[in-house]
Formats: sequence, structure tokens, C-alpha cells
Amino acid sequence: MVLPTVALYVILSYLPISGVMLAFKEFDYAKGLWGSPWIGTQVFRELFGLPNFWRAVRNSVSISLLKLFCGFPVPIVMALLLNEVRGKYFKKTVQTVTFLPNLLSWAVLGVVFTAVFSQTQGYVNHFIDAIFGIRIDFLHDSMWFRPTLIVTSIWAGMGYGMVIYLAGLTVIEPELYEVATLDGAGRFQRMLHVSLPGLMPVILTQLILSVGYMMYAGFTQVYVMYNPMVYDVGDIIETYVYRIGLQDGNYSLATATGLFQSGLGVILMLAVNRISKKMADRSIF
Amino acid sequence: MSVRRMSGDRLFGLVNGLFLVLVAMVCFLPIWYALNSSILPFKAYLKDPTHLLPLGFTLDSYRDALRDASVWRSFANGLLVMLGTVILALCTTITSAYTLTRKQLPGRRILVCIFLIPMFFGGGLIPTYLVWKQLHLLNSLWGLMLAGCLNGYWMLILKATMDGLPESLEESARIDGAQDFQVVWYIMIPLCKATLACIALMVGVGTWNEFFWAQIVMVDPSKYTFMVYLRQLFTRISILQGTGAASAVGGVPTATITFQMAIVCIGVMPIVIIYPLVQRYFVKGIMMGAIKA
Repeated sequence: MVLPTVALYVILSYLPISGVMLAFKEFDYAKGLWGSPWIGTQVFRELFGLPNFWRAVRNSVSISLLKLFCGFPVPIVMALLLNEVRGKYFKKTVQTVTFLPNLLSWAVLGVVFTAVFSQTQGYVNHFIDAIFGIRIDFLHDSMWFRPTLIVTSIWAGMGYGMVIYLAGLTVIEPELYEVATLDGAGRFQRMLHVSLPGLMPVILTQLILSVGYMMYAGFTQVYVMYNPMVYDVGDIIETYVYRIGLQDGNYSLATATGLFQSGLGVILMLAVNRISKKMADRSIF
Repeated sequence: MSVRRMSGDRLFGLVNGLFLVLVAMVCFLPIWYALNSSILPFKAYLKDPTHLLPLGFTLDSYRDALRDASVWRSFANGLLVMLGTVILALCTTITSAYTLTRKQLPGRRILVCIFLIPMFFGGGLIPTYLVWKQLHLLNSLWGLMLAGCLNGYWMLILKATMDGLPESLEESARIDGAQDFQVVWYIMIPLCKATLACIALMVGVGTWNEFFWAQIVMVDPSKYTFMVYLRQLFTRISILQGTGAASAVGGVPTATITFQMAIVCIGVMPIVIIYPLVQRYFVKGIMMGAIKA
């Protein structure tokens, strides 16, 4: 009964995986994937010589790390704070409002944010102009592009993390809170010394996943928001693959880049998983 | 001392509440901007540069947007692909999850590997594109449905749910002579309804929002899904604005922000409409994922 599914998997997932051998071939359009001549690691040697490739790698990792440092704590803090709220309707409303952005496509968000951050028409610049007298081209200025990327990414993803951490908070034993109160802890201290440590297992798991996916800096978001003026800070591996592959037609290079990314990604994922298993006895397998 | 502690708590509660309200408002602001901009009459649009004040109400922008037949067609295409993908996804996850619960099955480990590996490692953009080309899946809405239907992640969650069901149910069904298919149809599916609802919703939303791969494989504009059409429209508008061929003030209607936001709101409408009704399923879906991990 499961055979059709397996067949689908084989065709749609594994066949393309075999296509990574393109990374070792010199693609000849006439001969196609199977007929092109094998040239070994020459493609990779050529790839590693391209400065734009390393720029893309640098950008991917930088953006991921920035998103991690700035964005990772946000849903945790929000969940902790929201957990302290008494009113059920208030809690539900905040959760609903913060979660909604997660359901929106970046195609849509790209349009909205281009308008919102627009130098001439967006309300962000309107307020900045009113207070500081200057206007910032958030989406075209290399200095501001990454912060804009990160802030919007936090905005869109915050609700998702909050759900996870709020769920994690519900499994903390109430007795711990009672003991803390008896010892004289106020709400803020209880949050710091009971809620936060109780959330650690969930936090660690999420951290493993985030670090494991570090090679992937959020393609759809960057794709809708970037433009040639910010390639130096915003071009990530996947956008690079898209440009040299589908736009320039450089199939071998593009495949090699993709292989580099997923290969490193797998290694990273396994390494982080092993470290976490050793250190905190937590694993995702 | 207890009085001081209580007022400290009260202060914390107050500050906390205010802070959360502020965050919620800032969070909602872009959405409000899109909504408000889409219903602003043209004069009000010119008067308030932030487009944040609710200075009026008109459905003119929506009328302009809906006058374009492509909007309707791409919307229908999007719905079709979403429906097809969800159905296919449910089929694949149910069959594979159930199969994996059969502990006596030889080669079960291999099956798990087969399903798990694509979650972490893929062929990449170009190889996948070339394979699709060879299989004649390009430029086809039916092909697009296949793109989103394989989901190892949800299969694992469904399998966990199925494992949680008591074995006696299945045993008694087998004693009554039920085959695999009947067990799945009459027992597993009804009992896993909540999980299946989560999967359907998550896959549905994901498919509706998907535009990148859909854009790559579709050459025929009449087959665009809604998000692809939105992207195409928007990039065209950007180019127009860039060259100054249309300005936002009294220029071609397609260049105004009200028009853009109307299209945006149309695109977001399916999700926003069902969201309050089924929010708990989204939450449950995420929680199941987190707990499983």
C-alpha cells in the first residue's frame, strides 16, 4: 500500500539527488545530464576561485548568525513574559496577533515591506524623518539591508517560537513555583529562576535545530527583498545558485554550490547533534 | 515586607502588560498598513503619507484589482494546487505512517531512512529542475501538486500519533477480518482526525504561500498560482516605478500602493478568514512538532 509513496519519493527526491553529479561534470546542453562529460573536481576548483561564491557563503553564515543572536532569544522572552499574564483573553489575543505573520507568504510580505520601508512612501521613514530629519533607504543601502532582513524575520517568526516555548512552560511543575514563592521570590524572580531553567530542554532542542540549519539563511525572504544594490551583504548561497544556475545557465557551478551547501549542512547538523548529545544528553534522533 | 513584594509584583505585571500591548501593536502595524492602504480613497491616500490613519473607506482598489481576469484565474489555480497538494500529502503521510507502525515489516528501517534522508539532503535547484524537465512535469499544475506532497516531518508526527493508539483496537478489527486498507480507513483515520487536520492546514497554508518553485516551473501565465501572479505584477510595477513611467500620484492605477495592497489583501484573505476558526490546529501542529523533537 505504501508502494506509490515510496515510488514518489524515489522519483521526486532521490532522482534529483543523483543529479548532483552535475557538480562533477561539464554540462553540455545538447548531451543533457547523463551525457555530459565527467571532469571531476574541476568544477569545485573553479567555484572556489570565484569571489562571489565566497561572498555568498559569508553572507549566508553572517545572516544566519545574526538571526540567531538577535532572533533566537525573542520568542523565549516573549513567551516568558506572556506566561506571566493573568488574563486569558489578553494572552490569546497577543498570541493570535503575533502568530498571524507566520502564516503569510514572503511574496506578500515582500510587497508590504517594500512599501513600509520605502524611502519616500513608507511610514517607518516618515517617523524617522519626523524625529531625526533624515530618511533611510532600508532596502537598498548595504548598511541597513541586513538589519531590515533580521527585524522582519523576527517579526514573521516570533509567533511560531512563542507557541513552542509557551507549550514548554506548561509542563513545568507548579510545585516549583510554590516553593519559590515561599522562599520569597517575586514574579520576576520566579520567571528568571523557575520558568527559564524549566524551559532549557526545549530551548536547547531549538538551538540545535537552528545551528544545524545555519547554511540556510532564509531564501524566500532574501529573494523577495534583495536587489543588485545589496548583493554585497545580501546575496546568500541560494540566491547565488538561482542567479548563476537558472539565469546564467551555469548548471554545473550552480549544482556544485548547492552540493556544497547541503553537504556542509548535513555535517553541521550531525556535529551539533553529537555535541548536544554528549553535553546535555539531548538529540533530535 | 510582604506589601513591598506585592507592589513589586504589581509593578511588574503592569509594565509587562504594557510592554506586551506595545509589541502586539507594533507587530500588527504592517498588517494594518496593508489593510488600511487597500481601502483608502485616493484623496485620503494623498493626504496622509503614512497611510496609517483610517481616513476613509472605499472598495475602488479592490474593484480595479478584480477587473483583471488574471487575478481570478491565478486565485483559482492557487486553490486547485492547494487542494490537490493537501489530498496527495494526506495520502502519502497516512500510507507511509501506517506502514511504519507495522513492527513486523521487514525492511522497516530502510523505509524510515528513505523517508528521512530527503528532509536533510536534497538534489538542489538545478538537478531537481532537470529531473522535472525530463519527467515533463514542468509548466503543469498537476506537477506542482507533486512538489509539496512529500513530507517526512509530518509523516513522523502522524506515525507518533498512530503509535499512541491502543493496539487492541486494531487487533479486534483484524479478528473481525479487516484488511490493511479497512483498518486504515475505518480506524486510523477517524482516530487521528486532529493530527490530520493539523497536517492538512499546515500543508495547505504552505502550498498557498509557495511562489518560488511555482514561478520556476510555470511558463504559461494562465497557469500561474496567485502568489506567482502577485510576484510578477509587483516586479513589473517596481520596474515601472523605477523608470518613472508611472508615479504614485495620479499615475497609472497599477502603480499606487492602494492597488498593490488590495491585491495583497486578496491573497491573504483565504488564510485570514480561516485562521481564527482553526488557530488551535496550527498551535497543536507546532506543539506536536516540538514535543516530538
